Amino acid sequence: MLPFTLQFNPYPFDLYSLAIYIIFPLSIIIFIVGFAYRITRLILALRRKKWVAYRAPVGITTLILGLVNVYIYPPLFAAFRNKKDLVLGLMAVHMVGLLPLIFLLGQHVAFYAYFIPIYSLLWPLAIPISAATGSLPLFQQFEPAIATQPFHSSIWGPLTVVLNGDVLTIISLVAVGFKLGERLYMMVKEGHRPSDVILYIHLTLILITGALAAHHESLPFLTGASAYRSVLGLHMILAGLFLALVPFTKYWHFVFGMFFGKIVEWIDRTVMRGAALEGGRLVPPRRKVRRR
Amino acid sequence: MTRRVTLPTSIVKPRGEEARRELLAEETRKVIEEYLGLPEMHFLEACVDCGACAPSCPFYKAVDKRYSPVGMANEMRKLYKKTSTITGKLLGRLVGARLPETEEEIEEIFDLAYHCSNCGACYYTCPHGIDSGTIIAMLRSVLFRHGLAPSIINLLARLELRVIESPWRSLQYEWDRVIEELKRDHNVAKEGEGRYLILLDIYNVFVNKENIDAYLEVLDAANIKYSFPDRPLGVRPPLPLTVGHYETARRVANFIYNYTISKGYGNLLILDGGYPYNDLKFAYTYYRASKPRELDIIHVAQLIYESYLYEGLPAFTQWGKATYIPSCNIDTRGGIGAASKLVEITARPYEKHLMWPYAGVGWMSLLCPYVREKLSIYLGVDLVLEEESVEEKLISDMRKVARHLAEEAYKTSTGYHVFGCIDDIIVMRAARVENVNPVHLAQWLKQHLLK
Repeated sequence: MLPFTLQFNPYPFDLYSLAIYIIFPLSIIIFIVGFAYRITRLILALRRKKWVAYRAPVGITTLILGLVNVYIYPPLFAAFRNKKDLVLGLMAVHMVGLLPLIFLLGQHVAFYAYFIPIYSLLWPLAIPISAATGSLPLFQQFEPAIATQPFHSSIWGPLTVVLNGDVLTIISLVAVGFKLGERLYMMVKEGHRPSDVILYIHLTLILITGALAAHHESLPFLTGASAYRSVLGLHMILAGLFLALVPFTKYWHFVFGMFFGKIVEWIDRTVMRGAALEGGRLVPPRRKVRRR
Repeated sequence: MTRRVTLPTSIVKPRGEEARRELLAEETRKVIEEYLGLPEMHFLEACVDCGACAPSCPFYKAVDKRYSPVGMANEMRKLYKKTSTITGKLLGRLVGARLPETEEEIEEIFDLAYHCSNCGACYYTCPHGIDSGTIIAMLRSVLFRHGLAPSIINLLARLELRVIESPWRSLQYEWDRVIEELKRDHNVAKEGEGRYLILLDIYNVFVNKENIDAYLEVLDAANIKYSFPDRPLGVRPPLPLTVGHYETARRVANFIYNYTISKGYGNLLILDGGYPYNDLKFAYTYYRASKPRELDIIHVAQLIYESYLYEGLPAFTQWGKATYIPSCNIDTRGGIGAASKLVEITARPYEKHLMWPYAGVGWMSLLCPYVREKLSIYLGVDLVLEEESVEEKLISDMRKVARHLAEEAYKTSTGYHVFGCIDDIIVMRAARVENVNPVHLAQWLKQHLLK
């Protein structure tokens, strides 16, 4: 007996149905369980060993400056000493590429808002699929008449030339391709763990299937009337896998690891040791001298 | 003068690769069991291998790309995953969980683990707040338990407890002689009368005496009451921490804490660059030493800054043109900004942190020929390098680092480069660096504050 929603589905057993009704709910459950597992481990580790040795006297200015510094110092340092990773790693992969694509692409906003209604608040910031309209395929020719009023539906205005699904996908593919090549080299030359290569291949596949689905293109092996559903289904299955992998892989950094790590660093460096800026350049408040 | 002290310079290693591998796994579990807390778990599990920390490490920049903080810390992560995580046990090499299989691989890990001065610069540049130095220190502890430690550092570390618990007669004689000289030249308070007990150790008194002299002159001018211990408080405490020998480090630290309290002092004043300050003040829970609540540990730079700034003693002489080169742990993990601030206000113009993040060589200066020679004389032990040993390679790499740092310092347009730590100056001298003019912070302050 099929579930109620599948009874009226013309393709109850295709990839799309599999993604929507089985993989995605399962991924969410795995994500929640994995998240709880990792948090529990951290709490147990906290109880296991005393963390803080000493608390230095610090003022509110030091605390604020220290908090700002732990976040801005690494990209500032990279801007001077590590430009390649700043541009291709931080900027291309994260800031310009994947994050806007995952959270602000119009199609994704529609999907998230269906399940989480409050997400629709982000509609004004939604990014269209291409520079001209919300539906034009990547390499499809379009009439100049359309291009005369290209940005009417986006708050981003002229920025839509860059902030659109097509361009962001290309940027992300270049950046992820670079990281994939780097990890492949590291795996072969230095015996680095293969899991990183697998994760970057996974990301690349998500990007490619997403771009194909957005443009109603198909893959050679997916034919027939449900080809579009299959491509989209494949994209969603891979995305579901991504979600399920988050608590157990390096993907963890962008939902929890990075933010938590910086808080840990702030507590360690500023709250406990009193260092505000790099090198503790801000002089700590006057110490009470013990008289014995 | 040369009194031989018979101590094991290396630990007996088990025979057979399989047995050694099993032992390594067992030792890893013990270290994890004992020292894994919340920050360590985050450090071990949250790294994404982005390599953002690498350019801050001088060994990566000047010696070899193999010596990146993430690369060195990953060796511990491999052991941790293989022995202590479910994914590591299930998926093995796929997720980078593995134990070294051959003797050569263990030697390779050993080489990596000791190409870190644990200066803390990578902690600042990591986008995820990971302190690779802590992880590498854990790796050293595993290696130590496994029987691997550089023989000279290991010998000095083992000697440290002996030095403070029962210094032998010739050492005590030499110590008393130098301390008498210092007392003659400075306003040292009688035992129990000073407010601060100065942490004097073998390294400071016999290797770094001229800078100690300079610091004391500045303290005298500020009318700060301080006293000396009646015995050397170690070689350079807590040195056993360097080789991951936590048990001895704990005993050394506890001895120093209790000694200070028993002599009636509430403040222990550190004149050293950064390691003793950070290790005795902040890191003691890491090796489970128990610092009494009534004991405060203060760095001399902070005390001088406070004395001269708040108490309105001699006005600052704004003169010179200097770059402050932050020393290792004092700036990164010590939270003391006073050292750089002191240079800033005694020099004009002042180039702020052009060298930042600077990573020094820390404990590695103990391997320099000059230091070994001095320590050999006073401690009565042979600190001879073995052929093709890790130490020999370290010295050669240290020289490359010193030249690299000198090039970086040279880029700054100032005439003086003020170092917070003697180690870096010693290594620069050992590398025969000529294009920079290294001045110790103590000498700088003596020259400008007492003008």
